[in-house]
Amino acid sequence: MQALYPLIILLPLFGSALIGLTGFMGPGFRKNERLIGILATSAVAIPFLLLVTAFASFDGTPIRIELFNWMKAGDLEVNFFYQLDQLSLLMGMIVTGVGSLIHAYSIGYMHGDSGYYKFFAYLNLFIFAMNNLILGDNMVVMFLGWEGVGLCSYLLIGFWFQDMAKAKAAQKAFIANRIGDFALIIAMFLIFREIGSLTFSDIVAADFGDNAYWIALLVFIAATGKSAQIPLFVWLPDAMAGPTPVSALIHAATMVTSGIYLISRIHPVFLATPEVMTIVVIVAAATALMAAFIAIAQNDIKGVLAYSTVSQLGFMFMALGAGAFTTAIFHVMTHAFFKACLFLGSGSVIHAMEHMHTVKDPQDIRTMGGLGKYMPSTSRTFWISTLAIAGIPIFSGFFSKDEILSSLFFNGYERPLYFAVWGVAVFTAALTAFYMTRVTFLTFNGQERFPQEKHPHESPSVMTIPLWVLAILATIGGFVGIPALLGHPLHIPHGLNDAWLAAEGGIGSTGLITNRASMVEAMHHHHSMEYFLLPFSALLAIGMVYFAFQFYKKHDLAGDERVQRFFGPLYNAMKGKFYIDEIYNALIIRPFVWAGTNIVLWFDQKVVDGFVNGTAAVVTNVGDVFKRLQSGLLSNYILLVAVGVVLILTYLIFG
Amino acid sequence: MEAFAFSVESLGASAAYMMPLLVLLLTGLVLMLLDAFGIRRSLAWVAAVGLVISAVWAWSQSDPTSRIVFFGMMETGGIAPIVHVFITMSGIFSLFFVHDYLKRQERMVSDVYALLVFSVLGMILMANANDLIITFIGLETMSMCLYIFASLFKTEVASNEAGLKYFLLGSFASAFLLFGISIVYGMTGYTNLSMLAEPESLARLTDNLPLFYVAAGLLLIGFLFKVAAFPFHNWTPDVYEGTPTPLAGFMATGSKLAAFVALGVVMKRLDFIAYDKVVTILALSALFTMIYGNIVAARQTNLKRMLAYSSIAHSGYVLLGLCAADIGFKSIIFYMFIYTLMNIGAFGMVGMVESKHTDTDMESWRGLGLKAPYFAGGLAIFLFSLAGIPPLAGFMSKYQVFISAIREDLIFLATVGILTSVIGAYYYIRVIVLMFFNSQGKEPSFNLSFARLPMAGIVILVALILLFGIFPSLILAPIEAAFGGGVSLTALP
Repeated sequence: MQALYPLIILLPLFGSALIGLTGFMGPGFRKNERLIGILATSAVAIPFLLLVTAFASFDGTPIRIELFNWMKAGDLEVNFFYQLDQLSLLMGMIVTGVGSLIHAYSIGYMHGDSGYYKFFAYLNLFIFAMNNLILGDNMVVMFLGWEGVGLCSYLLIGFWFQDMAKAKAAQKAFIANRIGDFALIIAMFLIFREIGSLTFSDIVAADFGDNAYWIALLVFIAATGKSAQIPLFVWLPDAMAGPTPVSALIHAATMVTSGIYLISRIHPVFLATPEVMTIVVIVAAATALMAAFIAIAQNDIKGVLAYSTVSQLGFMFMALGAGAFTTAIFHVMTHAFFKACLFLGSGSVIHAMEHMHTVKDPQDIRTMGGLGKYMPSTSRTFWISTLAIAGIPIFSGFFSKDEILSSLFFNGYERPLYFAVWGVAVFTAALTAFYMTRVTFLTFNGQERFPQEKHPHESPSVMTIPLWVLAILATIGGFVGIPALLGHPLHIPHGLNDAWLAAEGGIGSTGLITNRASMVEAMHHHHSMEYFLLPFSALLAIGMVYFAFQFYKKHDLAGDERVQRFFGPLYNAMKGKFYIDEIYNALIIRPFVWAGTNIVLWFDQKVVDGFVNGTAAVVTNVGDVFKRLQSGLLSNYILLVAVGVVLILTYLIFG
Repeated sequence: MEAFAFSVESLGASAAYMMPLLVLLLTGLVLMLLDAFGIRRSLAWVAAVGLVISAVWAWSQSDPTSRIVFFGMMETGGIAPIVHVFITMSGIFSLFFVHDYLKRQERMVSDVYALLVFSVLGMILMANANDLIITFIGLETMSMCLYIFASLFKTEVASNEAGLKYFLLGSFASAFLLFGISIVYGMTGYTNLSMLAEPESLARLTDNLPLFYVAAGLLLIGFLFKVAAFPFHNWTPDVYEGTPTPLAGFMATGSKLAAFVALGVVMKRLDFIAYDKVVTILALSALFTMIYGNIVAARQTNLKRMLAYSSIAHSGYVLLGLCAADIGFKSIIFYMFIYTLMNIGAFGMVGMVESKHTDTDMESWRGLGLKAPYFAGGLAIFLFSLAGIPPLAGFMSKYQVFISAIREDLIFLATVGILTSVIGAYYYIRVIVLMFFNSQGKEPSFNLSFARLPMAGIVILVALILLFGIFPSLILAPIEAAFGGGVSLTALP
């Protein structure tokens, strides 16, 4: 079986190349949607099955996949080596598992699109890049994947690039990510300068001293780009311009969690710098809260989900900031299930609304309502995922969210700041329950606000089956998601987490197994609190969902007006997304463009071009002089030869 | 018969080693006879078969230890087989283009095939000689054939002019070379390179240093003329312009490879590197050749003349490699082989467009990329490779030469080489821009005939350029093996 593991990396690449090139060359192949869909899906499903077998036979020693030497230059040696350990196995199964479901879903969703083959070629390429990112055993291969997913994200957001707004959204995503990538490159330079290696096993074992601060900070900046945190989160809501399966796969379940993966992977560097951990937790709390506020006031179904994703990513970063790396990855997993389900559900809704051809904006929840009657599967799975993200007990989101909350809370005994963050997180969780219930209710329940001459239809089973699979996972993922292998008890989590303040050795360098003795001790110390926290967050979620449900049942769409009155002037700010795009535009983009068009352009035209043109002029003039020597007259040539001979011999004899 | 201070293979063994050369001789004679009897249909194929047999035979004799054969006159083993193969390949690849070119020019001159084979023979004799007399005979054999190539179209003024210029200046250069040889002989009593390399002979040479310098200078002048180095380059553009284009490609590659190897062997045996003054002359010539060739090439409007000047520039890079002692010698063999592939390709493609009624002015190529994208794409690959753009082989060959020079502390020369190759990139890429990006709505008026044979040649050459660009060790390893030691090119940083 081991011999087949390279296919985990290679199959998606082959799939992408095969579909892309054949589609490019042969228009006949392009029309064969079923073949393309099956090829693309199996190029992801087979790696998933391989990862599952690897997981089943995993005994704690990392499995190595050594392909070949990439480059060797001086001290730097980079290999295409991959490592399957606790962390990468779990991430790999999420990526390929959710990935194959979304591939299958896309077969139905993209039906009839003129760029069908291109879509699947990009999607396969994305999986290849993502596998490099999470399975690579060194930072260079990881970075290849990091850039690769950025490229695929760009290509897929701008998939319908004839629409200028969508093309611009793609550029925005790419540029925002580039800022983060730049920080990551500098972090890699720093690491290489300090320890002369970029292999993860060397990085986690190294002591960076004072440089740990800068490395951790730069890696975190990179993570804010890819994982949409303040200040670089602005691209993610716009990224919803891409086809909905892309939003589900890339901008909810997988790519946006790379920042969390990377920080968990090199967590000892972060554990060495409490300052950066503080920055992480504050930024994360601010992001989560801000995004939750914005989500309340949005009417675009995908917009709500996008801000909800930003908010949930904030939760994961809060866990990282509390040193609870295991918990963060746990939430990555449960979030992948319910958020992918929500996005695919929204895709199903948009699909249905588009096919009615009667509404102007198929994504606006104000033109929906009561869809549950016509789309039972979509409605039910959407509700299940909503309950999961809201944190209702039994559903997966409850466990992971509760772990995050308690990890914050218990850190508060050492550093009171974490009590405040815990408070923000609890408040945000309540907001989450509210806005998710709102969007789900307004879409599927209540009055039918769409034009009545036609009614929407449920999507085909190729789309609803993935929805049901994800919904089931969103329900039970909390129980079986993290088996004992990962150091988790199989049943109800105790809010176990890794106190980074007390951690000694921390997560094992090869994975997630934690030295949690000190944490368990802290928990025993505050035993009674644990019994209080668990029911508290459960009751809060249940109460909020119930309240929101009753509220919108009573008022329907008019409920938004009451919400507006409740928040007062704040509501306009929420609706306007806190004007962050406008602020960036005024403070950064416009000055930048001004400097570009005035200062840099002048420098480019006068200094750079002047230098280049000057060189060219010298070459031209000298060339003309030389050209005159080439008269074509034999006697002149012989003269030149004679002069050359005389000069050479004179130098040799007398020189 | 004098006693040699080194072991010489018996006549029987010598004959075996000479077989690849005899095959060439025989092929040339057969071609002449066939021509004489009027059987002219498949001369190119006969020539090709002869060249291939000779190359394969020579390759089968490759052996890291070099041997002196034929009464001390020739060298086999060591680098000899690989040089033999490379020179023969220059001839083989030219054959892909010659026939079609002559047909399009409506001048079916059937002598070319025999001449081509004979000139290959001359080149190999010159390169693998172990006696200055053989070097000279090889050089003259080669040159005679090339003079005829230059004046192949007897009724055309340009062709006659080219031939005459080449002949006069070439004899001039031969005289210098011969003069240098005679001084060496006068000082030591030997023309045999192995004998000259003995400490006793070297001591005799340095006894009278000024005279030695005159001899060295004259030898250098003779070779510098053959490789078209500054200040003995000025015949090149006129001659290449008058020569049938595919044969000009052959001239610029095979003959230069042979001359460079011969110069390298002479330099090594007579230990020129040890004399700063000689190296200075070589370095100055390299410096000015690189600058002159590139700058003037940048001002050309005729594609063929541009390629002629660029071939001067490439000679400059190779001279730079020659200044870099042993490791440089290895690198220039690699360089010349790669240069052979891309330059024959470029000249061959220019020849395919040329016909009796069209010129090779760059303007008439404007927009070719839109009319014939694959054809223009092929030419673009040759030009990109000549400019030294990775991942094409032209990049690897330049890299090897420059890195060898840097290793031998020729930092200034290497810097000039790199800077002038930027100028090179300008004029090569300008053609690509003209063809693809700057059509100004024009399309070339001439008809392109895509005969099968030259197209096959282009495909093979493009494939090889890509292959050796990505896996240079396919060529570097045999060169290393042939040198049998010393600092390895592949081990360079």
